Amino acid sequence: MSWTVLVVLAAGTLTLKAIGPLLFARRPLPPSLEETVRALPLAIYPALVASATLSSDGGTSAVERLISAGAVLVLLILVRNKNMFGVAMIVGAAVTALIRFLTG
Amino acid sequence: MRPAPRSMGDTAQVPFSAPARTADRTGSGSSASGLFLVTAAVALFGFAYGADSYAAGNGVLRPVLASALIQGGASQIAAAGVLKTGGPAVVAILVGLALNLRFMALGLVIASDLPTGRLRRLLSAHLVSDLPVGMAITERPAHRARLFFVVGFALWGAWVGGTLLGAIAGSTFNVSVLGADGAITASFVALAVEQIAGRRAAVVAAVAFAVTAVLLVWASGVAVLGGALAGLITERFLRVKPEAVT
Repeated sequence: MSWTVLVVLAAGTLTLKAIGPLLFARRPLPPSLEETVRALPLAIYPALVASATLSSDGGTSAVERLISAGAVLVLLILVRNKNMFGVAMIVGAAVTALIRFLTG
Repeated sequence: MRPAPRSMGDTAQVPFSAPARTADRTGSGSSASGLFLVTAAVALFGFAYGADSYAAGNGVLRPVLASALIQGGASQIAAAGVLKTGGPAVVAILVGLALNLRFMALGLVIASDLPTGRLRRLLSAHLVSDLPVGMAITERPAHRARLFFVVGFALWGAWVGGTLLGAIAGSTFNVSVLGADGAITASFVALAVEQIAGRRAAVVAAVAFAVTAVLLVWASGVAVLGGALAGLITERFLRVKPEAVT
């Protein structure tokens, strides 16, 4: 990564991150925007799951990642209502590692 | 689980309020194991990124500064990938920024929970990322800032520290052996499930997932953005429709 890319990407990324916190420092979000903002996490995190499981990263198989994520999803649907964050991660890592071990 | 956005008739609902059944959760003890695991997984990815970047001839300082100042793993790896295949710097920057556009959205999500003061908010904004925001918003508003900073600092440290160690070690290291990528994906699944309450929310999530999956085929740089946008439009459509009837 050249210095130019580093500096521009860093400045651009911080700008993107800071728009919300700086623009709405002294006033609350306008109601029209607030409804959209409230829906953002619901739209963003499933998209991230798709990206994390299905994007081609060159090394690992998308099917493996999809099975692992599916196992975690089933677990979280069956055992709702509890803080399962740590358990979910262990299961995700374990299933992924197991599939890779079995499929060599 | 948060209530479905706009559950009908619930006009007095505080923005982002947690429903009663999770209201007693403070996130201090219960999330500790999750925080430790996610920090370890991010550190492993940092290590892999640092080692790769060193191997590509960037030395130690550049990858470490990139991790410290950009603090967006996917964009750093994607930008490096563009440059590696001989792409121009402009394309590398644009691909990186496209991937980080979601941080603008996440910055808006957490904006009302951050401390006051311009400099403090600017520095807080630097910690904005998928996991700090996603974990923080599972809490009641009073606890959000604390959890955001705990997770944000832990992951920033893990990412930068991992990059430094990887660049120093200089040997390429396959994180996939340990299933660390599976752990990170699982954390995204958990954050997504936290947001899904009710059938409508599940539809929105499914649309966001499906559209991202389709976009990944030919426009991977903007896939997450496009998928999230499709999810938002779906949410808007599902939300507005029943109201128009009443």
